[in-house]
Amino acid sequence: MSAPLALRGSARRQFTLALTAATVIGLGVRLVRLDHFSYGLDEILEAYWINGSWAFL
Amino acid sequence: MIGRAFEPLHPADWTRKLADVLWGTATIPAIRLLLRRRAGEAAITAFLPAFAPFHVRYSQEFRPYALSLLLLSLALLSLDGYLDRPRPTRLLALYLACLASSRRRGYDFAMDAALATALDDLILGRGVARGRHSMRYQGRLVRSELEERLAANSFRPMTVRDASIEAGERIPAFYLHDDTADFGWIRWEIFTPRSRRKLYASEHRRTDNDEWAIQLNLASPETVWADPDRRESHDVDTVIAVHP
Repeated sequence: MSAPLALRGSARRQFTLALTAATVIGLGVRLVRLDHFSYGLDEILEAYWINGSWAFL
Repeated sequence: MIGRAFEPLHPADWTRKLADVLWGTATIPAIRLLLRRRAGEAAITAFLPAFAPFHVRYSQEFRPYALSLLLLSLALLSLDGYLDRPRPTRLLALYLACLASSRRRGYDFAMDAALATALDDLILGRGVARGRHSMRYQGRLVRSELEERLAANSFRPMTVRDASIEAGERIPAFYLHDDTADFGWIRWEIFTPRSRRKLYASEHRRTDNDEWAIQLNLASPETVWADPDRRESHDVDTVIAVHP
């Protein structure tokens, strides 16, 4: 038997709330000390590549 | 392409990483929605990628590693949606997600092993005359692959001015232009005991006067890929004393 509509709406709200909270917290965690590490070699090469010639495209 | 669009604004190092932060953050709901479809309602599954140390670390890189996982998650979501209710629009979404995911992964990791070996042989001169080579492999340009192998072999992009070298030494270097890789050396050219110049000179020579085909001097802003740790001694028998 399926759950009553009110309960399904409540579960959906809880899911949305939990997902929003996790996403916001995840964003906050990723923004902490974003400038802490200097570029690694792969990132230096990425910057070099991005700023180089794209004539091959 | 996103990174290149922002480069004219001369962003700070950390602001370049914001796009990857967004890709990493978007992966959290993508994984959660996928797991909800396949494994039910357990809320903890949203918090696992939110705090996963490696995912957080790779979401703070300038290179878009987090985009790979996001596109992979979206591709799996699309596949699950299509298997659930096959519709042309869902098939199109699946195709686009798989295409984007495979392209992204391709740029990150996929290099033909034979190509990598051939490029290493060329870079190190193992059984291959270095000189001038086309950067086309089976019809496609492999400049980024060559740069990757140059980096893996400790070569770095630098100008002639930046290369630290003494008279009597030379550094192997590759100058990449158009679809051509020119091998040569950064070295001092000695004219008289009081006159010299530092330059990059290609091994490939002009046909009309036998001069080095490519010469870059101290004033040149162009970069070559060079490895100062592979410096060699070479004969500069004209020099007796050198004054900077």
